[in-house]
Parts: sequence; structure tokens; C-alpha cells
Amino acid sequence: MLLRASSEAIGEQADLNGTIGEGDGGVPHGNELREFAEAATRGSTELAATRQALIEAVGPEAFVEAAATVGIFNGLVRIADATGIPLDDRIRAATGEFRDELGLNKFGGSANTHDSPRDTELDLSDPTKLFE
Amino acid sequence: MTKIPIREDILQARAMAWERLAGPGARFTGAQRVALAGLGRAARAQRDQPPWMRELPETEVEITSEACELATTIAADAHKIDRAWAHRMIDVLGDVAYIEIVGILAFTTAADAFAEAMGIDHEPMPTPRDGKPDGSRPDGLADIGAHVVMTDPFTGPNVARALSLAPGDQMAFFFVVGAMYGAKDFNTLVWDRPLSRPQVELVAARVSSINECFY
Repeated sequence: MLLRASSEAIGEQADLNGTIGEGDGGVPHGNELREFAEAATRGSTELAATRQALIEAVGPEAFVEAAATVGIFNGLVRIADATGIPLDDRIRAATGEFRDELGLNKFGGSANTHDSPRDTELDLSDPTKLFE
Repeated sequence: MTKIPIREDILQARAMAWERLAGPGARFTGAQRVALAGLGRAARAQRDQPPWMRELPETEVEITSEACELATTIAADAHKIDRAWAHRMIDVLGDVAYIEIVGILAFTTAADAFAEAMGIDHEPMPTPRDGKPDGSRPDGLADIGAHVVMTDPFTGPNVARALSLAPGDQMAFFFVVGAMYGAKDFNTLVWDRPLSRPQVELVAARVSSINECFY
């Protein structure tokens, strides 16, 4: 959701298939970022090569940001799954259309979130207020 | 490869969180907390193996089998946790201990995954500090439909209140989030940073998807 909203905020169109491993997500150096995130999270033998490719593509400072994002989201997902938190109301309402398309509803944690008939009444016009 | 410097704010936040981890919490001593972090680290390193094939370190610290199972499951198999399993654990351990272990493993995993991504060694486990668990339990928490109670009402993403039962660990972890993800920029969609917000969110979403995390 934040990928789509932040891309629209700069006049770009995100490709959400990047989140499931297909394409560059519609962002600059998206392939290098995605391949690095995949290799680091899986601990694959491709990690050294994808790391070097990313450093060459974005530079060392941006690479550290990517590595930090990989690290902290590996922690955040564990909190989400272990505590069984449901999706935030506006995120739930705003993502209904593509959660199924991307296969996210097949993840076990989907059992913690239940769509509500009131979802259509929520104001989704301001993406910076999706978590309020 | 030339060594790439890590930003000072990340180094400081990480050091503060290790310091917090090494001391007593609400239900566990510093030695128990460090031992649980070590178990989780070892389990995660073997996450491609089924749980019964993993070789975990022996610990001289007294920890229940349920606490060990929870630590290793969060580290290596968090996506398999469902409500029934979580409640079986909570029934045995108590909800505060459950969340304390979640906080310990969330930070340890974040620190280790960052080191791996950077291509540097894991930091050594900290030396435990003496002291007894304080036995505290925060008041005023509510059921929001998760496996455990948490602060309510709350402004912000649910994940930011998920550790409400262990406020010290929650604060330490989200201090690290602030450094590594940029909590102060959370409500800003256009970032003036080395990576743009969409670039960061692509990485975040891909990490979540590989972990099969719905949230």
C-alpha cells in the first residue's frame, strides 16, 4: 500500500507485482533492490552478487538504507505474525482489491483480519492517514 | 569488498537495544533473555531445515521448553503461528512472557538480518546483566482481535502497539525502527534520502512477502 501511495505522490505508477518477485516494482533500480532483498532474506548464495550489484547501482549510502530496511522488516514481520495483529482498518479497506490478486490472502496471517461492511465508508483519500 | 560505514544513528539504536536485551525484563532474567536470543539466532540460521532437524545450542540457563519453542518458532517459522498455537503458548507462559520473547526475537532477527545484508559478522551476544525480573504488567490494555491485548485507543500502525505488554522492549525495538526505517518520516510519502520512499517500500514489501507475512 505504501509502495503504491508513495509512488503516486511523486507522479509514478508502482507495479505491485514487484512485491511478489516479478519485475522492478516501477521504481528506479527496482530489480537490484528486489533481488538483494530476496537474497538477503532467504540467505541465498546469490547474496554477495546482488549486494555488489546494488552498491554499484545506488551507491553505498543508499545500500545501507536497503540493508537496514531488510533487517528491520525481518523483525517487524515476526512481531506481526507472533502477535496476530489484524490489518489496520484503512489499510484493510484500501488493499482489498489486490490482496487476493497478489496471493496475500493465502498467507496464514490473513486469518487475523476480517473484512468489514463498513470498509466502504472509510475515508481513504489521504494516504498519510491510513494508519489513523 | 571495501567496508561500508554504518550510519551512527543505526549503531547507537542497535547498541541501546542490545543493552536492553541483556538486562532483566518483566518475566526473564538477563541471562535467560540472552539465551533465548541465542537460541533464536541458531534456529533462524537453520530456517531451511525442518524444526526437528535443527541443531540448537545447549544452554546452562534454566528456561522452560515452551519458552525455547516460542523463541525458535518466532525466529525461524513465525509465519506458521496461528491463534490456537499462540494461545497454547500464552496459557503456559503468560501473555507478558510471550510478548517479552517476541520483542527479544524481533530485535535479534532484525540485527542479524541487517548484518547478513551488509555482509558483516553478527554482533556477539551481549553479556547478561544481573537483576531480577520486575514482574510488572501494564494496565489499560484491550483486546483488538490479536492474540494478545495491547494499547487501545492508539494512533499509528497496529504493529507499533503489538508489544504493549512489554513496554521496555517495545520502546527499544521501535527506537531501532526509527533509525533503520525512519519513523520520523513515516507519514511523509516523499523522502529526501538516499533511497526514495517507493524504493524503500519495495524492499519492505518484498521482505514481508518472502516471510509470508500478511500484515
